Amino acid sequence: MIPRGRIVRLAIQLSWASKLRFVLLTLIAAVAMVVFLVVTELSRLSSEDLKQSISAEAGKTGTYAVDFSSTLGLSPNALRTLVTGVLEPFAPTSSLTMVEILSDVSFDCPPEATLGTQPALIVLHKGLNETRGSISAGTNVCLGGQRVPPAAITVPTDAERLEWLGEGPGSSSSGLVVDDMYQRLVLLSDPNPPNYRFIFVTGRDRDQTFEIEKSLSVRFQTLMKSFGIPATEVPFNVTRIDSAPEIRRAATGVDLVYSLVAWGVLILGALGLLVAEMIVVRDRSWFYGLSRAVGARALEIGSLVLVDILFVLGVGTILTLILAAALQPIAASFVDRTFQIQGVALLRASTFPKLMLGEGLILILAGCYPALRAVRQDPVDVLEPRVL
Amino acid sequence: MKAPAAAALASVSVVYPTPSGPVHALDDVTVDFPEMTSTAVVGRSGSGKSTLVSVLALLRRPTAGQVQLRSVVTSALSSDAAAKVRAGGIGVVFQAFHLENSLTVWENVMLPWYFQTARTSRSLAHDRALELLAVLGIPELADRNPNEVSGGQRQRVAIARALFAQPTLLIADEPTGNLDEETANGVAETLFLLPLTVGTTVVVVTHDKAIADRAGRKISLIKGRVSDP
Repeated sequence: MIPRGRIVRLAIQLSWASKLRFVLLTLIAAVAMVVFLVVTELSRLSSEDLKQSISAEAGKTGTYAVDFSSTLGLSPNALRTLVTGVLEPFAPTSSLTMVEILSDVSFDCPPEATLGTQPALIVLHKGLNETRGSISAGTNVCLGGQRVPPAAITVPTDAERLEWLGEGPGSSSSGLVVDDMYQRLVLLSDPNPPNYRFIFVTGRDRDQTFEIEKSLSVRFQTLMKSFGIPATEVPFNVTRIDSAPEIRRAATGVDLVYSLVAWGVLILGALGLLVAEMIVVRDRSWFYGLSRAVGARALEIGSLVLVDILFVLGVGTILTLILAAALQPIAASFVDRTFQIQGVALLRASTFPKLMLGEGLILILAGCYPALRAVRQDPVDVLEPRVL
Repeated sequence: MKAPAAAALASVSVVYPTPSGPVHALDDVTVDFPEMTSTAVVGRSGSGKSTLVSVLALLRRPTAGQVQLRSVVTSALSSDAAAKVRAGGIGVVFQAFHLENSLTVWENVMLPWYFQTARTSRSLAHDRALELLAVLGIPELADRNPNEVSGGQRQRVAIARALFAQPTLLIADEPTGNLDEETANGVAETLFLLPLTVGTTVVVVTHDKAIADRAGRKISLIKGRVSDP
């Protein structure tokens, strides 16, 4: 085994020998990578904005609700454990929210009528915590005939109203979230039994309503049988509650365009390096032939070419980082003025894996074919062209 | 008693397919090169001299026959295995000196070191390069670049590079072809003294009769066949 350091050293020496070529190639690589970083950041910012708006207006992609009109004799906790087990293959348990809903609850202390009668929502299990609005501190709140502190009542966010009650933003405000400490009082306030709603997010565009229904039916079969409920009359209802698939597709399209531009620039850069490296391999063919004549094996010849590209990419990456850091304020101000988007950060930890992937792509595109050409070069042809 | 052969060709033929039919560059050549001797291979252009060099240097596989280096039959070796044999046992000098101008003279001389498996340090390789340059009478050129030295000096650098790995066989293909007469004589003298100075078997391919006459032995190639072994 030949010590690798020697080959790397020789390749770098040869690469550095033509400084102008090296500087120009490094610039091509760095510019391509900086553009990649800029477009990736623009893509992230715009799609983040778009996704937030879509989530607020139409829910997260793949949001489902399972409503239980009966608990089949189970406690809410036991019901949650059962449902969580069934839903595990479809969605992460961390995304699951369980809400107890009582549809007609009076929140006022007679004779006042400030809050009126509206659904009471008790969050029994929450996937994500959101900051809710509070009601006025001076409001008198009574549940089941007993006064409760106003702090026990909060106003659900738009996203929660959409998920828990199916109401979009702009609809007349209804429903109040009651602290679970006061669950018993709420139950006394409504003569009707509560409904239980589970909300979870699969994150998949494909509709899985049928599969979820089937899984729940299988799991609840024994319980339903013990209650004498026929298999056709399931006590739950599965609904997909996210909407606007066209807008989601359009947003995905925007993402795709950005990705195409970013990767396209990298590929163009790689093609530029490929052309330059082909010229280098042609010019150095005699050297590769000579190296074969003094004992180099195919692997070492290929390594000389690949290290040449890697050297350009390595220095190009350092230059990219410097350029990105230097361009950061200009890019931030440009994006703010042009797209009214704030928070541009070209050097983001999450972008580095993509950048590394891009460099791998450049290495493969610009390095493999020239390396193969160099390896396949017959040394006799380049050392003694007049062999016959 | 006959000296053992550093290299031997047995019934070697090399045929090139061409649009106008196959060309026999070497035709049933049987010849051996005894250790620590010098041999000149002469012949006109197109007689197969360079093909003989490429076959002896394991850069080309013969169409038929066997090539033996010391006791090792090399005809069936893969290109990488042949490269390994070259790295340890064969030095080649070409008519076009093939020196890399971006490296210094001593770096050119130690080029084989980059591809050797032996874990010799760079400083030892550097010392070896300087030693060879001294043996060849050009120690003062070590730190120059090849484009700063004369043709004869360049060829000496190429010879030093070929000797770097202490080869048992040194093959030179028209080593004086690009040199004036006086320089050519100096280079030839250097080459033909190598069996005595460093114990290497030397095979020099040339069309220059005066150079060939200085070798210990002379063989002639005519239309791919050895006419006077």
